[in-house]
Amino acid sequence: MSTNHNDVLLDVQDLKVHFKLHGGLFGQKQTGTVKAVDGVSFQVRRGETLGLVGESGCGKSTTGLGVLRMVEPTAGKVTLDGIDITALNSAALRKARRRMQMVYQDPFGALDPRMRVLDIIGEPLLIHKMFKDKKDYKAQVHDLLERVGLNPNMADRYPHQFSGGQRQRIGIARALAARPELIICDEPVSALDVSIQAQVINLLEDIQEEFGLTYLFIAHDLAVVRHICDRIMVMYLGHVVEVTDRDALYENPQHPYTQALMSAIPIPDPEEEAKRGFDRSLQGEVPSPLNPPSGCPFHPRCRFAHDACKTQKPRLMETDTGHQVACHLYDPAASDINAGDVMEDNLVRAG
Amino acid sequence: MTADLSEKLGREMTGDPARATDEQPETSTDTLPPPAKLPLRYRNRFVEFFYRLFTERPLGAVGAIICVLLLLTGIFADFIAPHGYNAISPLDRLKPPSAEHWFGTDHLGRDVFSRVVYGAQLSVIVAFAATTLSIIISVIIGLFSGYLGGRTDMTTQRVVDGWMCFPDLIILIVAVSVLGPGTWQVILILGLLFGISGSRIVRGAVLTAKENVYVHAARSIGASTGWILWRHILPNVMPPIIVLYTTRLAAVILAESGLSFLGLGIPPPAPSWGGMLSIDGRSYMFLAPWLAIMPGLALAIAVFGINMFGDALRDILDPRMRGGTGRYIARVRKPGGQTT
Amino acid sequence: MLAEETHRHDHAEPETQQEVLLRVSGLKTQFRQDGRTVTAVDGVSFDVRRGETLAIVGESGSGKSVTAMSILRLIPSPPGEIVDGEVLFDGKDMLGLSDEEIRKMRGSEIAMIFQEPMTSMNPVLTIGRQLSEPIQVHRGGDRKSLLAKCVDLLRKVRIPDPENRVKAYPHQLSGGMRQRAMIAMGLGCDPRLIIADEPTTALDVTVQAQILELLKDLTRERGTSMILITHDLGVVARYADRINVMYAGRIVEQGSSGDIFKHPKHPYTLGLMSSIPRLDQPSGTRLTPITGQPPDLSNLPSGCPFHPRCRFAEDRCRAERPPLTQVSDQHWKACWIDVNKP
Repeated sequence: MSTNHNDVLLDVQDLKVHFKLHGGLFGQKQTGTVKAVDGVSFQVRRGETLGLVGESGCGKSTTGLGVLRMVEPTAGKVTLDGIDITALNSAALRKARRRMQMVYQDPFGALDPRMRVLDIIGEPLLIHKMFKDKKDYKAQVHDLLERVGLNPNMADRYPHQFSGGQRQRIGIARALAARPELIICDEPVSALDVSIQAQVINLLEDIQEEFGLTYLFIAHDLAVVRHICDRIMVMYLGHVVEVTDRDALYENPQHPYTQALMSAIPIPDPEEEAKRGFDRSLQGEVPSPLNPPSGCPFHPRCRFAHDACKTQKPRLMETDTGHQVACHLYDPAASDINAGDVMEDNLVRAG
Repeated sequence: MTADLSEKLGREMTGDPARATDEQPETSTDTLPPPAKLPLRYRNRFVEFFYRLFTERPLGAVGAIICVLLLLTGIFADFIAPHGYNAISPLDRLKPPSAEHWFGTDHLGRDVFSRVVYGAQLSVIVAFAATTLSIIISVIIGLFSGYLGGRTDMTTQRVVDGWMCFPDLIILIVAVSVLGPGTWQVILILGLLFGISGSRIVRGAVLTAKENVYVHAARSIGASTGWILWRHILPNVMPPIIVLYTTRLAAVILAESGLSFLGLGIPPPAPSWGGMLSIDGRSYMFLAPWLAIMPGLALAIAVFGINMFGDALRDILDPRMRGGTGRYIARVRKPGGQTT
Repeated sequence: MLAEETHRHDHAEPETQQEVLLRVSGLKTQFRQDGRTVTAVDGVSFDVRRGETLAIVGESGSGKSVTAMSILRLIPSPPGEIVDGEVLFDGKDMLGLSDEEIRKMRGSEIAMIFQEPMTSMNPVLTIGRQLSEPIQVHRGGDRKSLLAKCVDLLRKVRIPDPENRVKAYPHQLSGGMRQRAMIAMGLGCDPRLIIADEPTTALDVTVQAQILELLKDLTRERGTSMILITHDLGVVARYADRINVMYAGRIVEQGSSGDIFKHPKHPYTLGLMSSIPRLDQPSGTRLTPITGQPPDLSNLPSGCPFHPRCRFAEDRCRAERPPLTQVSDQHWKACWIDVNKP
């Protein structure tokens, strides 16, 4: 594909989504704040796929919703192709949403059970008045159905008459209907059967090529993310901990959390597994975002944690070209132990 | 509404196991399956609904028949009733039931059967008008309060709370004394009264419906609030609204009778069942018991029928009410042996 | 292949006979609904040896969970019914036991760990109460010794601060902690077999790894056997000794973990392996999915149920259902085709 790699389609600057918890008789008292997304910045270039990975509660889905302004960001700026999404009024925002669509995780809940497939896929066309007449409308829907590998004759059926994989295809067709530039895929395959996942992944790759789409791909499955994404951003408790190219991340994960995450993923090969062993160092679970740890959010689970980690939040900084990590180990200014130890440790584990 | 109802029914009726029956065995990107003929069970959902009503809920079917009879009686009252509802015949006062006057006559010599039949007409008019009004009010309040949430919801709900602090009867008495008695006044008052309390139920359903991912999806497509309410929320809260409608029908009939009984409802000589129970029935209870028994029976049967039908409707519309799980020890059928 | 070779679990070998803890043969479970019969499990046979972990792999509707539930007779009836087969646990015929006897087996001899720890626990009882209940029912004991046992169990599943956690309610624990508590409940009576039905599907990867390691350690330590039901091939590769691959209610391939991953013989297993992206393979390679949709159990294709999705399918596959036949010492498959032939 001939995409200009400096052509930034989506630019997110210091996005914050905080949820205020209310108490009191009339809900007037603010009892706490959940910082679901706390200062996330990234760029997605036209035609590329950026993966957002992390465990539940890391804010990856909320980031996606914040970009679309499905939840109102508390702070930050989202720019889509030069348009400041965060500054739009609600009518202009609805219009802008045509250009960024979403594919959902749950193939059963994402389609209105009372609507025919024709009306589900055609809804964006109706809303944005993107058809000439009834015939054109039908032709467009039939074409979309064919693009996602479904029979146009199925247009008159209801969602319950389809299997999970087929419904996910319908969801993708709906996202395509508005001819968007950006599609936010929120765990698009994790609810599907294993044998169906690959079909949907291939479909997403095909339509990306065909329509020149840009993806923000949110998932927890690192193997799937590695397969489909060009660049990957790892999130933990509302913060970005590492961003880099796909291969760099998998060959040279730098943040201790990324390393632990990698070792936790089983490889479907008993011999590989026996060789690999298992990193038992990562214990415990993601802390509650209501009461996040001070300093580096990962420090209570990190085996390299030292004093600075408990008090200072690490900055996201470049360690290699295009490889950014938020960890004091890689920060020459803050570090009293260095990355060499981590590397050494990796070698010990690998060998 | 009919289309939505039948759609819903069709969906619920097929249930999960049926889902896959017409599924194509092959739907990959490269091969497209031939169009499949839909099985019959998807085609006529209305027929399917009545089939299920009669086989699974016989009592509901009885209720449905009663409702239909009530409706027909109301519509064709002029043809059914042998006399006018106010045809006074002083010579025929307080006659017991006979071949000419099936339900006897009252203290003015009016034919009780004719009055009961016209009473059905009045009940049908009041019930449908007041219930429809109440549902419209409930839906409007419930939709906006539930969907918009936040401050709108908060304010609306406190107002509804305030309204519901007053006993219904007091509101009715005050309203009647302000507006004066009469059919339209009763419809207006009952519609408002039931409409506001019913908004709670609609709001609850909306709160559940708006959490669906497809509502979220519609927003992300760029749909406006009105669009979402009309195309996604409303059709999906139809089942509880339909159930609310049927239960409210019976309640309105009862409330109207109660009001008329107290002399606050539809003034005589209009043949309200409640009014007939009160003025004529009470005074001549021992002398001419048919005066109380006939309209009372009509009222009881009508309310029973509507309630039975409403219950059946709810059971069929609400998949959660369907079927039990049975005991949790598997039965074993051994090849040669007996079942354990 | 000859029909005589049809797999009947080498009853002839005395030394394996000794080790077998659970023997399931010809198990068939059906569900009846709306006048239709769905055969969820159709003639499944396998052994679980002492101390080993057997994985049952399959997609939704493959019958893997129903198989496990049938062993404990946890199938709701109606509509479910075990219509054929034999389940021998330590020589005892599970399907011939009375309701009372089977209740005694559950939890004490065979424990089950479910997928969703939140709904499998009673929200109004403390962890301690729920832990001690099965022990009290099956083993008895006074309050004090039960409490001590609970604290001990929680410590075993590496829940920090067990003395206080016994007093906690389920909602006060995180997902991972709840799943640990579930495991502790399962271990309470020292069962000889644990059936874990997708024990980590609802959990994050780092927590999943911790839980599975814990299960592995605990079963190794006590020599407990485990049936691990999952759809995740990675988990299977890491934790299972032997594998049953199920499709449409039948076992289509059975063998040791090494054999199945290295030399898959059934096109379905092969398809599954090549359809998942793997961390240890070069990135950017295109996936080869299995085409089509999972079958409708009430309307299965003729012959081999996999044939409409199988790229090797021949006429014979459409007509005849292949039996489970032995391909090597510890490896069976239900397929007419030799997938290794060019």
